[in-house]
Amino acid sequence: MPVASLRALLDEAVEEAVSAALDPGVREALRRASLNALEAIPRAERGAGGLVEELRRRVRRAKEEAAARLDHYIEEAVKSLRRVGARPVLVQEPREAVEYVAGLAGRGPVVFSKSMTAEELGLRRGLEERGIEVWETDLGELLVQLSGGKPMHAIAPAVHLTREEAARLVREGLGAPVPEDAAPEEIVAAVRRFLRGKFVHASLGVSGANALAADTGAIVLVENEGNIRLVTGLPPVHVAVAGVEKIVPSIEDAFAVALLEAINAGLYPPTYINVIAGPSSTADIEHHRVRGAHGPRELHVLLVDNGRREAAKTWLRDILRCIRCGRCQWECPVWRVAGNHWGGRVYGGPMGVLWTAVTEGVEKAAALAQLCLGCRACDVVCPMEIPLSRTIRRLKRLAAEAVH
Amino acid sequence: MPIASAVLELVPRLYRETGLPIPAPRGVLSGWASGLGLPRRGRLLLYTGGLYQLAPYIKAMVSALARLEKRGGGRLLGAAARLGLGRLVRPPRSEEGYGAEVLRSIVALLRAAGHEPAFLGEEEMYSGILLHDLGFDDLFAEHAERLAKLLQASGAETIVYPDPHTGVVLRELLPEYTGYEPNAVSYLELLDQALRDGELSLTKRDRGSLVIHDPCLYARGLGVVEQPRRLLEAAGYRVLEPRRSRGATACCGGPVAALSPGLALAIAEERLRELAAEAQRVAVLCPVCYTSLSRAARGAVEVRDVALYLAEALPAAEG
Repeated sequence: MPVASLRALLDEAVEEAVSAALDPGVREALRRASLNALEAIPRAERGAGGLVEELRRRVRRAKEEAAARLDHYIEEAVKSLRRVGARPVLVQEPREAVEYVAGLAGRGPVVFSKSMTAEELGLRRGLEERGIEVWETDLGELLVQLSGGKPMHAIAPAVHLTREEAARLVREGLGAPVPEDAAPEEIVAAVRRFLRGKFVHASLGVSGANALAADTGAIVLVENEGNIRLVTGLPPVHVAVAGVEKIVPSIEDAFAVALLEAINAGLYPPTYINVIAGPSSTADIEHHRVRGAHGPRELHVLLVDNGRREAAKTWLRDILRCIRCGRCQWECPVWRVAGNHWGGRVYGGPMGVLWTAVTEGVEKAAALAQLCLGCRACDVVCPMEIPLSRTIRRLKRLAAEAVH
Repeated sequence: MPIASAVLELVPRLYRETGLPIPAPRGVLSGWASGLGLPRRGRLLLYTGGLYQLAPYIKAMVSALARLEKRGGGRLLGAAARLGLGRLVRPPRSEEGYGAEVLRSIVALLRAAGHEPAFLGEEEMYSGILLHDLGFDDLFAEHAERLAKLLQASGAETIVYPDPHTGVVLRELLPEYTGYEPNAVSYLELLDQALRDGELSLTKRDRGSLVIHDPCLYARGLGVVEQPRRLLEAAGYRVLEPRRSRGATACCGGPVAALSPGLALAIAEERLRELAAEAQRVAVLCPVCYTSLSRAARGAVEVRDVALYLAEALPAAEG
């Protein structure tokens, strides 16, 4: 790694993190959110009782198994998806994904439910640059879209915005009559009114996937807003974007991931769990199967590599177990003052440094790693028991070796 | 203006020139013990690792770097380094003796508990922890070899350490890098044991409330958690817990202070806020926590080492 580029990357990383940390608004919003999370998550865990440990164990085992034999499980998933009438596509890098989805989008509008992997691919921006109308439908992610910024947390993307800023963004971005001092309820209602029409007229819905079961081709998605049901149910074509690390051996494993995600988001039981295995169909007339009933007639599944298969062969493999619940972020003292401004293009905080290593390269990640305190708070809370701080220190070595 | 890359280059250079990662006067590691009459050899060796002695210089260095980070950045740091940082980095007189005061209190406490520790004097070596934490593994590995030899040659049966970073070097890193596994304990563990065996008596009277700040590496690495609480309570302090405590404690920000003083200060301010919500007196157990939290406290909240609070309850001090 050339010293000059590493120096620049390191100084850039510090500049971005320190500017965020010195912004009193960001600090206050992150402080409120992390305190709320600190109460909500243990409450959800108490609600789920003994299930928590069982889910953690099951998901850990499933993810370890899948990462150890990643190519095998990709193959299985592809076969299963085809069997249920879905169209799997393996994409190596962002550009391929953007082109593929643009080809399906027509003139839009395209509705997105929140997906960090879609964000990683630059999918929304890629479509917008091609003149296609695109709307995020997760409220937090819509606010991020309207602000032109980047998501701040894997589950709570708009965690850095206060309600006043949210009201302003909705008023100016959607032209909705929302007063400056609007209550959160008014903001939510205005967004709901605006997005109804977009859902109905969308040519394409793009979702992520919390898990994809290799044995059945079933995609599992967990949510509370109800937007995922609409994004994946109303438009004639549905594209699900899944990093290949989302593949787990069985459909039971996939459900376990969804439940565990819900608990770590601080809401148990989750309001909705969606299972999607192929496009909608009916056989009600003469028992003849017709694809495309009330739901989509086509389901495309983008299986995203973008560095993951390579990582599975190296010391970065542990991060492929990550379910991106963001627990490490809530506890990380650096993240709690800088948010995802301590991170790469998309992923921030402890898990984000390692995801940046996978998706953007180890040079960028090595620079970010230097800001890790080595305090081990992330290690303690990670439900997947990923040795986060130890792996991050390994990245530090790369940075130190480069300047030394 | 970021200084991070300039600092990352500077640390190994300073280390190679002086054996220390930051500018500090010669003899800084051993001067604190003068007049104590500590033997050079003994069954029990107090190995300081140097962090307490360096704490005032670390704090002064971080203040100087903070000014550079605000304006000037790495280029100016390069120029300052060529002129000699020692002249720029000088702690205020009121703080210069902090590390010595804490270490002398630790010796007084150990003696009160019936232990007479040995000390290596001018041979005392820095622990090398910053080299490790910044990722300079080759440098740290060499350093660890020399340290392991020095400690082995001391002939001590038990090595007692004063702070969590030195504890991690002894308990985790020397075994990993050199294969040498010293029998190492925290002085707080020794005091706690003596207290429970009835060999240490602290004068118990109502000393008011204080809030305890667990260092990350004690709480999540070395298992030193209840000992300081028991000791403080035995001395008559009411020990309050902040929102994040014990295994869930929050870092003071110190480990990134050299690369970004601004970021470290923000982290320290957040932590101090949690602590000050409980009490206006904070007991710290680590010199890095002291430099970070006292920097954030700006004198408004009392931040002192647990050894200083405990030493107040020694019968001699009470006398």
